[in-house]
Amino acid sequence: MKKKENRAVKAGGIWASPFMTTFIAKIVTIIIGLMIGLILLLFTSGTEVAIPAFKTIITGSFGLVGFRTGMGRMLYYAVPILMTGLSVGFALRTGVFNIGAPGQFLMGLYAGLFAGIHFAPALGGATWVAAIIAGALAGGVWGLIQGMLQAYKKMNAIICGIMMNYVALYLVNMLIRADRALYFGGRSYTNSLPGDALLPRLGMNNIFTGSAANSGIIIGIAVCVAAYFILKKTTLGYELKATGLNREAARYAGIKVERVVAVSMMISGVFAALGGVLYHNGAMGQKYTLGDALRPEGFTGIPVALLGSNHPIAIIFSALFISYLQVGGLGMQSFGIESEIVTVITSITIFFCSFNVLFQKLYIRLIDKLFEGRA
Amino acid sequence: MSEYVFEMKNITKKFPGITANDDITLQVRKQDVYALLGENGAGKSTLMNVLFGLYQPESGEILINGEHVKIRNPGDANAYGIGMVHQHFKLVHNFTALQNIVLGVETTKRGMLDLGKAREKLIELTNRYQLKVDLDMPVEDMTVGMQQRVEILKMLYRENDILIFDEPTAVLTPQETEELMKSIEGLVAEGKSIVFISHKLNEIIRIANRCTVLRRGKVVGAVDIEGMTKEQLSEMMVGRKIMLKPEKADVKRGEVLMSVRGLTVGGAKGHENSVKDVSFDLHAGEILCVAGIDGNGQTELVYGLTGLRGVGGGSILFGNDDVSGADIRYRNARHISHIPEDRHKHGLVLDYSIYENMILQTYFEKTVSHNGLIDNRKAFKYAEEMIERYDIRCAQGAGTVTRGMSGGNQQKVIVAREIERHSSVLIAVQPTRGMDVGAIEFIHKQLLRMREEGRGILLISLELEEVMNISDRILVMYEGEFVGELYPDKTNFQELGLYMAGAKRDVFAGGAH
Ligand SMILES: Nc1ncnc2c1ncn2[C@@H]1O[C@H](COP(=O)(O)OP(=O)(O)O)[C@@H](O)[C@H]1O
Ligand SMILES: [Mg+2]
Repeated sequence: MKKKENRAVKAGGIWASPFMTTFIAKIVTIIIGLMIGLILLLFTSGTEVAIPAFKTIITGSFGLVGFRTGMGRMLYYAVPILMTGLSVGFALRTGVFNIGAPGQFLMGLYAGLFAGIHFAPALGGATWVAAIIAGALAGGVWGLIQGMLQAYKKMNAIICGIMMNYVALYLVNMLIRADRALYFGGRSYTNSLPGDALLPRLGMNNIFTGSAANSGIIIGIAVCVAAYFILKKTTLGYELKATGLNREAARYAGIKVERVVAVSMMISGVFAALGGVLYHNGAMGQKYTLGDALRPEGFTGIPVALLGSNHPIAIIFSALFISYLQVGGLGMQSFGIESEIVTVITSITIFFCSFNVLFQKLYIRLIDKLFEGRA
Repeated sequence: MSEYVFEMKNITKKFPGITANDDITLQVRKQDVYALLGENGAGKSTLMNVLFGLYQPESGEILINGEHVKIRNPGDANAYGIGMVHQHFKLVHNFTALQNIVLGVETTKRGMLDLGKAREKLIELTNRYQLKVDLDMPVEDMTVGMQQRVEILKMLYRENDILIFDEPTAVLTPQETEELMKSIEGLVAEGKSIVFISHKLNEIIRIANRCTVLRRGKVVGAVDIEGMTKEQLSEMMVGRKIMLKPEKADVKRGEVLMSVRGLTVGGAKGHENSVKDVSFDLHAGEILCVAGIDGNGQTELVYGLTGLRGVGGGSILFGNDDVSGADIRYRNARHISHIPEDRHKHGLVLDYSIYENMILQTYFEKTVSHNGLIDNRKAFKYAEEMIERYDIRCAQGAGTVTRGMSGGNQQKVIVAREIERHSSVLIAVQPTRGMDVGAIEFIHKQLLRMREEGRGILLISLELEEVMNISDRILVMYEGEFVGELYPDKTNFQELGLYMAGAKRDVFAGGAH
């Protein structure tokens, strides 16, 4: 197979490069996901509703609220899933499935809220920085605990992750209820953050009018680039990838794979937690609602990571894309359709990601045909 | 009737970018054991896949018993009496032998599967050809040898007369190989014709009567085996003279480099110790060979020495430094290089490129990294140098992902890496397994060069010939203990074989005098 690819590189030029091959295959998966979504819509709501509703998904909310607002919303909603996607993808590079992202997300959110409200009087305009640091720390600790349980105690990653999620959920509920500064008894949600605890908007409110777009997306992308750098250039990244690709060979090489797994989960926890802070400290008036359900952003990280092939840079694009669909989905209610249709579409898209190799092969064959005799 | 049971005339088969078979003609008589000899990638499997109907050639013709035929698929091949045992067996793992064999030609009674007749016929076949197969054992529980016998039975059950074996011995132990040879002799005596693909010269001389040598897709020659020497055959195959028995320089055995005392290593989970109270010394300038039948504790001995498995007791001394409790990295960095038994499991991160694999144990050292950052350019340059020095064939230089490389070249990557780390001791486990003669010669040369440099080599090998050819001293391992210490110039294959089978043993302190 490899040989064939190499040859294709020569024959098909840039069109046959591994990047293009993967890219095209992903686009095909996305199109198939959307098509099945359309069919579902047609079945459930008939043509008069389905067609315009589907158009709303495709055009995002851009059609409804205009380009600037739509764009801003996409950026805003991309931040949390960008970070949880990076979290899941990064852990997968080490061969660990981080199902604990929702819990880490929540720990970050809580720490950001805590720091934002408690430190604001002392820190003033720098409070948001402290909130980010607090969130990262909390997520790192949470991820590390999970990583150590998985690596040293050989606990099943799924069970461990789910457990840590629910522990985080109820722990955060408990901590908030006990804290008069964060919460007034009897309400179901927290107080909102002071202005000093919010991320700078950097004038994005003027560019993307009518949206909550803020510097969170820039920080998020910077973190992705940092993750890319870690994987690509550092000795730690070398260890992480070696462990993920072949744990036995890593051991043979003298790498302490248990430690690597724990460290990877710690970093992964930091990423997910940053999602929590950057999202919650991103907009004015946000309140965290206490409850029994985990927030969906942590789970959405899984499809974001898969669609981005666990590549920190590709994940930026997959997060933006899924956010785009979600924002479009928000506009669905006006058609009397639940926005869940977007979840269905992303799920189907993710499902077809598992056919990626097939699509890649078909694509390579097509390129071969097109460029036959030209090599 | 034609003189030949089958002929392939002027077969040309191209793959994108390569002509795997270039105008090949092959003529096989009844009751021939016809060898196809050639290095890895010479086109042997391709030619046989053409005969078996898996590939369609661009040109050329096939005759069976003198008649032109067209073989479009394996079904056609089967109809002409052609059967094939592939390099990688094609059995369903959770099916029993019986189920696998009748698969596709099931006998039915009133629409229901009826295996009674099939069983009778198979029992008759196993008796006639002396093929030990447990018909009701699931394939996944079988030894490789038995799986292969299932494949043979499958061909016999389908009443094939032309039997193709694609590198049948690559996966077998020497004992299983010998059994296979006997089976093949039995098959020929019953009137079958055999095509036997191999790059092992001993086997071809032992079993074949005629041989076609392929090199880079072309026929180099077709010869009668009678009167051919291994040297002549290997020269035809590789295109240059090969030293089958490497020349060893006189090297004086130096000081003790590694001293092992009372080493005990546990078996797989919950099993009894696989290495029992073993002691030996490895000297500078010495190739010390641990010989034995597979599964007598060699793997565990290596695991214990390298740290892949914790030891149950004893010491491993490098001078005053007892590493028996040290971690793998400590042993790696200070004393030991290790060419592992399983190059895919341990030796390589297959999805890493050559240059990344070249720094597998040293990625954090000053030579290729500073402040936690890997100097990829430096690693790349180093790997390019190794590719040059060790003649590693790869499509895209140091950036080639190792998964796509041939087994021989993958092994060269490991050999280069381990030798160039300049450790005082090299533990090499079956370093030439699956290699062709050219590559074997190359690896042996490297080991001998290390010996001349005054390093110590612990060679674990199952190949008696390798043991006799390059070692200075032999320790025979049997059921986790050393049962004999032999010197290649004072012993012979028979004696070595007796020790290995456990029929002979000496009481001695494992070479630690
Ligand atoms: N299906 C295939 N597609 C492309 N190239 C192939 C294929 N099968 C074999 N080749 C190439 O053809 C050549 C001959 O391969 P093969 O017949 O397997 O050699 P051998 O069996 O002698 O080791 C090799 O260079 C190999 O890479
Ligand atoms: Mg072959």
